[in-house]
Amino acid sequence: MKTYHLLITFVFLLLSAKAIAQETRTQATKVQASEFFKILGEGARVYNDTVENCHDIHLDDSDWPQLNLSQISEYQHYCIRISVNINQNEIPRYTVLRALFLGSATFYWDGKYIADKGIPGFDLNSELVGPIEMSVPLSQNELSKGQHLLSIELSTYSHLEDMHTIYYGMFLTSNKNRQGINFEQKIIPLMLAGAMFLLAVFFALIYFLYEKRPALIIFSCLCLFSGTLICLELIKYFWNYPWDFHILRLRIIIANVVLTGIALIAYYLFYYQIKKKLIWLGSAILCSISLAFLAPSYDIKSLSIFVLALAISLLINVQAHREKHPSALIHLGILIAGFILMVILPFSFIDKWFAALFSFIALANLYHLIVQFGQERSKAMQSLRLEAQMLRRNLQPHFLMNSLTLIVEWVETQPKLAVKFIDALADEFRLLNNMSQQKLVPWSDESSLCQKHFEIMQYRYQKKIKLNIEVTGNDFLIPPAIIHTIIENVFSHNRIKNGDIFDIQVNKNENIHIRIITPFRNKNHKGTGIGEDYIKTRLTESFHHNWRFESAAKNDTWQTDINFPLIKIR
Amino acid sequence: MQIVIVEDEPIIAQRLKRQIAEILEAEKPIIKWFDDIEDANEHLTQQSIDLLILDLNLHGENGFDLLKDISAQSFHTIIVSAYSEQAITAFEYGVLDFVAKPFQKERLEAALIRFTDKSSHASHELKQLAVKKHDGLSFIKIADVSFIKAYGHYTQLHTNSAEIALHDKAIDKLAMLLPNQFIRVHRSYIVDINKVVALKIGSGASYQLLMQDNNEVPVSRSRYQQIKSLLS
Repeated sequence: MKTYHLLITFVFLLLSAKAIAQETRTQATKVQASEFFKILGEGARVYNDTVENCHDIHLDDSDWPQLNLSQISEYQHYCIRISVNINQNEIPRYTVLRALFLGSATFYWDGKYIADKGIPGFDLNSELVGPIEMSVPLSQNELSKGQHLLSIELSTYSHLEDMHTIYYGMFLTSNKNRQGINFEQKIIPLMLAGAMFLLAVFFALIYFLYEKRPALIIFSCLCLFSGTLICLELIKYFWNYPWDFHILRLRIIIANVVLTGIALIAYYLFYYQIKKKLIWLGSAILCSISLAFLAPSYDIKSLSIFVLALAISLLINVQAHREKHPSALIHLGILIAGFILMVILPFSFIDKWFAALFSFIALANLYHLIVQFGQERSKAMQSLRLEAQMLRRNLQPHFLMNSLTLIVEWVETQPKLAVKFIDALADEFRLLNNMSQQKLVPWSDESSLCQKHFEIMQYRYQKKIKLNIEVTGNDFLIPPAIIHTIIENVFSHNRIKNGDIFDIQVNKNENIHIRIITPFRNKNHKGTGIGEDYIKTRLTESFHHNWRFESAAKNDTWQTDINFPLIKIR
Repeated sequence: MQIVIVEDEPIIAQRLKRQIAEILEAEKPIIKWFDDIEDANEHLTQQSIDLLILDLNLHGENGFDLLKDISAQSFHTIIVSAYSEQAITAFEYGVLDFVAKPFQKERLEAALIRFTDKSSHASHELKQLAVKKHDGLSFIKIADVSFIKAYGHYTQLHTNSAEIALHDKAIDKLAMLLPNQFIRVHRSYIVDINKVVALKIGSGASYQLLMQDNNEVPVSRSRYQQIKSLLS
């Protein structure tokens, strides 16, 4: 277990380091690798209204306001004129003009039409929405050394809501390079999305076909949501969607982020069986939704919702760790690593790396599941072992052979007594056999088993001894043969004398408390060994750790106290 | 004849008592019953007895403890127990016989005949013999024993090694437990006949056996002829 913790943490740290390294490297190499890259938009003259001759190269725009293009806003019509200074003799072939913004536009280069991105209009009706990204190749002729004019007629009416930034960039870049970047950016998230969907299916199958544990299906949903989230992020690489869809996509993403965050929290709540799940979940949902509505921009929205979900998950894990939940530490490690990763690369984390975080949680989950399979197998083996142990106890030579000797003696001397004794033995065997395959039996069965055993021992030891059973109500369940084991131990480890009394008191409220007071004369004897082990294993089998077993000498008696939850007979 | 039964179940003790009384009717045995090791031990230290009938599981206590506690066993022991897998250990403690429960009178009788018939030899192939030392029990391999010498109520086991082990049975009692190759050559000596190198005649018409370990063991005059014929 320990090595496994270390291993996963180590691998995670390694990958995080690699992620950070890769991130910083791609940022550094982005420009350098590009053969030609020029950002356009500096010193743009922007006229915020209809201009008849917007694309006329001879138009004097010197009195137009200079505007940073990121300030263009919704529900407007613009004429934008950008003077482009090419100071390079030779521009590579396949150089394209790329423009990314939420608006419809027509592009002119040196007064000549080159491309459009929908058709700009003067109101919502006359505007025709085009793709979000426009990309048009420019010939080397067009990119000759010197001053050029890029003029754009732009309208932004088809907006669903007021966004703070609708302009993302415009630049001249060589074509080849752009594809290269895209491939690298696509491959890892694509793989992760595939992994997420696979895990979603896997955990759903586990839930439906193996064990209906809520944590499993919640985890399946978590994988599904995070897979969808990656895909929504990836859409932009595969589909140049209409720019008015962008806002819808962002909304879907935020909804997905909320779902993912809630699923993460819900998963840990159910995984650790935290109390007051509804309060945790309710407040988490409330916070996430209010963040989704109140946070200023979509990036901040999703980042803050993620931070919230991770923080709450961390809290839950800290609590689980305090409650000594064995796998809390590893989850804590993964989440902290995720947190650090998020602080270092906040936005790229949401784009790509949070999926890696879920992969690790999934890995921890898979491990837990496999451990559980193993435990269940050994549990099945254990119940077989307990059953055998219980039945074998009455086949023990001391019990069996001495009883047979008694029968031999009475067959020869008092056959009628022999018959009675054989009957009593048969009854005990029958009771034990009926109980042997059950994990819990009615108290009445256990009680008759004890009485039967006591009767047999009375025959054998020929002593005047008494068994008192005080009980209020028979209608509860008890693991089989545990009181019987105690009675049996007393006989096989103590000298029994005339007048000895065995007291069994059963107290029934929301718990069952059984006190057994028996004679005690064997001062050398320390524990009950196998018998005690049997009782404890049986109690654990039925009540996990929710039981108490105390057994100690008290003056001249031996007192055993057993506590376990009340399970009523249906 | 004094016989003690140690058995914690009264009906079984009663059966033993009745059957022993019937089998040994001629010896007019006095049979005492104890259901507890402590009481039995107390009795055995105060009174010398001839035969101990012992159960191995007495209220969870081990019957062998009684054999460990009593020094100088001048009596024979017959184990009557449910634990037949303990038989080998029982013989190592030097018990005469092991009767498994449930038992019939015939089986008990066979064991008691071995007790009354002094010339009988062990039915069981004894491999080891328990020896009490200050730090507990240890076991001597019978195959290692070269000869045995009487030593008061005890016997000395002379083995191939220089060490002499002390066994707490008198030589007469021990003789009955040993395998056939052990021959009584003297009132105080038993030898493993296979480990004898030569029969020597010493001065004053005394006879000695030279053993493989170079020790010499006296042979009594009355047994000389028998030993000579065995060796030839």
